[in-house]
Amino acid sequence: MAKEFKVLLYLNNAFGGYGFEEAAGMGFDLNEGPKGPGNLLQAQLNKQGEATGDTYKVVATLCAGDDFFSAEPEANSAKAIELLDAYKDADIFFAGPAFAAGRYTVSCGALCEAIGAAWGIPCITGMDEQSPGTDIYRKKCYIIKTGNNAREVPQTVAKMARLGHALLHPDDVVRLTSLEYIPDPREYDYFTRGQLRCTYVDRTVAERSVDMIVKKVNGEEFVSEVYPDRFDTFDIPKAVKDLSKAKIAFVSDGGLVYKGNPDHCQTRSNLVWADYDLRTLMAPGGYEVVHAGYFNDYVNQDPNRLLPLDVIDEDIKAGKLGGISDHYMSMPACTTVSAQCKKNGAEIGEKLKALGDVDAVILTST
Amino acid sequence: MLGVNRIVVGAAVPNPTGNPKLEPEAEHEYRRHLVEECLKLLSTDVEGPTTVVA
Amino acid sequence: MRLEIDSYEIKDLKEGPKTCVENGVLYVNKKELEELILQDANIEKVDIQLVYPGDKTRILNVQDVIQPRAKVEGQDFPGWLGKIKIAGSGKTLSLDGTYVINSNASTNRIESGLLDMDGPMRKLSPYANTPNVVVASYAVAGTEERAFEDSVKCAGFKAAAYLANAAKGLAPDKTEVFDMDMYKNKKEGLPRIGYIFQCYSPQFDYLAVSDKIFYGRALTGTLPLVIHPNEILDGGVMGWNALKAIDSVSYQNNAIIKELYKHDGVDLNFGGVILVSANTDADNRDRNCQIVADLAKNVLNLDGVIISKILGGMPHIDISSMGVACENAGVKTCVHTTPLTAVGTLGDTILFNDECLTAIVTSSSPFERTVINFKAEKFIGGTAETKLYSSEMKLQLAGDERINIEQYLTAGVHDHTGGRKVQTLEY
Repeated sequence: MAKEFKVLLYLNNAFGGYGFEEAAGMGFDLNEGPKGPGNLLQAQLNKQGEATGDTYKVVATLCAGDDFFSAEPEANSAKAIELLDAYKDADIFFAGPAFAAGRYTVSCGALCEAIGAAWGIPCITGMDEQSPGTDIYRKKCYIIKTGNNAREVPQTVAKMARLGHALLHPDDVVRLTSLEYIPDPREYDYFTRGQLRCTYVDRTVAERSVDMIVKKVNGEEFVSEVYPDRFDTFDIPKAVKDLSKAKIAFVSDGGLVYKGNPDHCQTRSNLVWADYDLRTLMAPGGYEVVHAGYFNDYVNQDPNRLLPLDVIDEDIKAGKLGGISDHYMSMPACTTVSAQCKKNGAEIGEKLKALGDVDAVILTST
Repeated sequence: MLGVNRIVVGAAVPNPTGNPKLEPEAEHEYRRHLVEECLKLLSTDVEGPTTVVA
Repeated sequence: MRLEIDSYEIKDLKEGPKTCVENGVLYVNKKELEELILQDANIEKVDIQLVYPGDKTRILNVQDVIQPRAKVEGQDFPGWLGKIKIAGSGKTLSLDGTYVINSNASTNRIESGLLDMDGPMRKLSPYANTPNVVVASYAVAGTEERAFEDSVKCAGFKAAAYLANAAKGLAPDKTEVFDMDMYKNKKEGLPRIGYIFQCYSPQFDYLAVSDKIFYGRALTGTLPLVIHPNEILDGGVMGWNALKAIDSVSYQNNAIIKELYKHDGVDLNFGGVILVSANTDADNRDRNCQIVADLAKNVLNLDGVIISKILGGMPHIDISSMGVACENAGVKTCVHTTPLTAVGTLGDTILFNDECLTAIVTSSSPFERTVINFKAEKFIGGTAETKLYSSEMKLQLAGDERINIEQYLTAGVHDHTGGRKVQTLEY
């Protein structure tokens, strides 16, 4: 039975053709039919549809500015669902692809999650592995793997279309012992979604075991079927011997930065860290909070609620502590992927060591 | 990736080293107590992840 | 030790006045088999049914599935049906293409296996695609439960031997020879590879009694044993009292043993088998792991081992501990693991991460669920009201059109000895 599938698409300001940074603050704009890469998507979907005699039509393209949308992804997703109400009989939703764009990947992921949950239709986008949206949303929708180069639009859209068509055409082929239909992430090139399934393959467990042990004993290369998580081991730093002579430094992921945010730290999925002068920062009017993950007012009222400087100064005066470094390492880290945190943490550690006089760190986290 | 060995439990997410519900004097006292635990832990050898509730 | 298995292809099953095999058809005198089984005073009655692929039949309370086999000379299922005689040599008759589905119709266990002869199980289980002989035994009132389970076990083995003897004197369709000397290399210069077979775990012991799986006795609390692989293929080690993603057919056809035999003299020398049970406490585990490694290195002189696992999470610990002990002794390992959840990553789920265990194979995902839509019209070993196990403690009955069942309870879907073409992947 030939079917015409209805497709919805979300694009940001740039891909929607509204402009770049200058249009990043724009609100929602709903267009009928395909816009920008939506035309390519529709063509690719129809190419897939030839095999099954089905056609696809992008019935609407919703656009919004990256700054606008990513400032409140959940609220804006809910608004988007309201705006798209006339199209809620759509069969499938696509967003982006967003490649490595921080705000765009978060917007696409949030929309895919919300629409998938509200309407129960497949939702597909495309992102680079390191981008903020990937870790957060990979389990909630289908994210095609991309590089960080927006020039890969044609091949990425083709992959998105191929996966979309597959999701809309479950077959009876038995691939899993659970008898479910789940397109293979390796075949369709999307990020695994935190699921495990027993899959039918071409060799028995016994065949694979004998093959693997013979290779291992002979010193040949083999591919294990599981690579366990290994926790980094390191020597636990020894205790500070004499606090009265020790100098500590503050580090925080709570988003306390210089007033004016000169390093353009992001409220969410921030990737940068900075070395600030503690006294300048902690002076009245010297700071602001850049962090979308908690209610900022309390720290704004009194930054000692994040960096306990007043008590530390008292301790220094009383001789309990040697001193505190003028250098404060700030890394606002609301939903920043752990790989990035690990990287930045290592750099911060190096910087602190290079200072030469820091014995210990108090790291406050929100 | 896990491997934080010295942890002091703070007050709350929006105010790790403070408590806006308390009067300023009481809040300061709380923060003093918290920092004391931090300094104590920094000057103690630990075998593995050690969490202190202030 | 040399074992010859003469196999007979069975294409159909029919009732007949005399139990025999003729032109690929197994004729069964049900009355005679019934009388044989009823010799056990614990069995009040036995329901013997011939089932066929396509029947709208659901077989319940499946305790085991057994391949019909009988010794030409020697003791069938030694230790269970008669005095112990070491299995694994001489000639054994084997019927291919039909199985004994052994059901305990009087069980009180809350978990019981099932087999559907039609519906989705046709796509998943080899047993749903062969004609089979179902033996469903009912207990004499007041019979102690575990004693009855042993009676059921023996009823199944009796049926298996009885049916295989139908082929006595006939020319086999195929003869397989399993001939191996654990101390003589088939071909010099090839690595010696052995098999550590974790064949039991006492963590599931029903009513705190271990299942008799080794020559009629339990292995719990015993020390690791070196045995000849043929003993496992020939009825010395048999199934549990419940389906646990392994059954007697799995033991009789142990896929790792058969695969090692296939490679013997080709790219390895099959060095032997060490039989172990999993351990519930650290002290015994440590001791047994050291003994296993010692047997592997110093008694069997192995260069490498495959370690397979049995159902459960606790066995993961034994697998990794044995593996590490072997690696430390200089015996390389390939270990099996079974992801325990359908959610997560492979790394999360294996419960061990020792650096030396570099070769890991996923052998099944026994706790994964399958939704089976199948409205049975006939029930054997139970009724439409028989409760089926649900880990969420939701009520589901055998007569329900839709059930959600953990795969280790579906006969034939999984095989911990590695006979299925399955691998757990991330999705």
